[in-house]
Amino acid sequence: MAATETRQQDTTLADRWAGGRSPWDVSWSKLMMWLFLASDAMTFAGLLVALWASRFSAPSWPNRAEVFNIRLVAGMTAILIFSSTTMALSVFTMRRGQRRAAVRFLAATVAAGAAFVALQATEWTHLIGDGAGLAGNPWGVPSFTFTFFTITGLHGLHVLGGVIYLWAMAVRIAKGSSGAEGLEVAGLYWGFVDLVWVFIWPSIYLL
Amino acid sequence: MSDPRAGHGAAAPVEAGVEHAEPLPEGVTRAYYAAFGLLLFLTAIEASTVLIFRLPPVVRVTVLIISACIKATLIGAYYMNLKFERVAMIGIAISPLLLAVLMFFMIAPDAAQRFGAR
Repeated sequence: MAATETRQQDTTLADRWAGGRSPWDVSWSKLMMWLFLASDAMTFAGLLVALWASRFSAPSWPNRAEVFNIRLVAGMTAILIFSSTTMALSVFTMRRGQRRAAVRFLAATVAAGAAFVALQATEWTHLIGDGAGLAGNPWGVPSFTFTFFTITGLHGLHVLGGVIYLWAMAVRIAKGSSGAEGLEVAGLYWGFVDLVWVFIWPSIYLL
Repeated sequence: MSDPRAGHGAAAPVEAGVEHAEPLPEGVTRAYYAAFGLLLFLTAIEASTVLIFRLPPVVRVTVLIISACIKATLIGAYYMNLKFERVAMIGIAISPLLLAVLMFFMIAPDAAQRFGAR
């Protein structure tokens, strides 16, 4: 009896992975987004580990409270959290069939994302104006600004890409050419952008 | 364990041309707002460890790591809907974090030893 059940389970699993049904019963786009996010998470994890290895092996590290405007970056963090909330609400309203509300929440997400990018550009401009670059900085620890520009730059590109992605998604949803599933996949990407910042913010600015 | 998709309350007006996707539970919006408040509160705590309080480094590091873990859990669970996903999907999401921790402990001792040798 038990052997029969096991055989049936094996057959079902094999059918799923043989393409008979979608693995885990999720759409291909959602599964592919998750796999992309897993690989992207490893990229950021590698960069953050490199940051910490640089810090441990450096004889000194500049005082972040003196170099960065922590209040500004805390504000940027709050903006990103706000945008994740509006993104989640956009997915929720779309799943309930309220397309106009979904587009409004999506527009708020895009605006918040654009504000984050603008504030990051301001922060970069100040630092570059102070003489900081990839190869050196006034504090005498080149790896400090190298890791800063690399990590925040890659994250900023993700935010900028996300703003464009969500803008296109808002247009498609407004026209009715994209549905809740596509919006949920976009929401996964945006949640990931916020998730990564949760680790970048303390690693670079606070610890 | 109850089905999280069950019981989605009064039906909202559905606009024409919108596909009928599986709805999220009604109460999840309250969870979104609660998560938003908690995330802001934790961010304020994190910033205050540098701007206001003069904490010993060990305490500051502990507070920041715990706070980051709580924030990541909230974002993953609610904003990325992992709370409503299958266990296998949660496995995909958590695997990079486990690998990152492993990578950190493989590299950190060597980096620290280099600093100590100077």
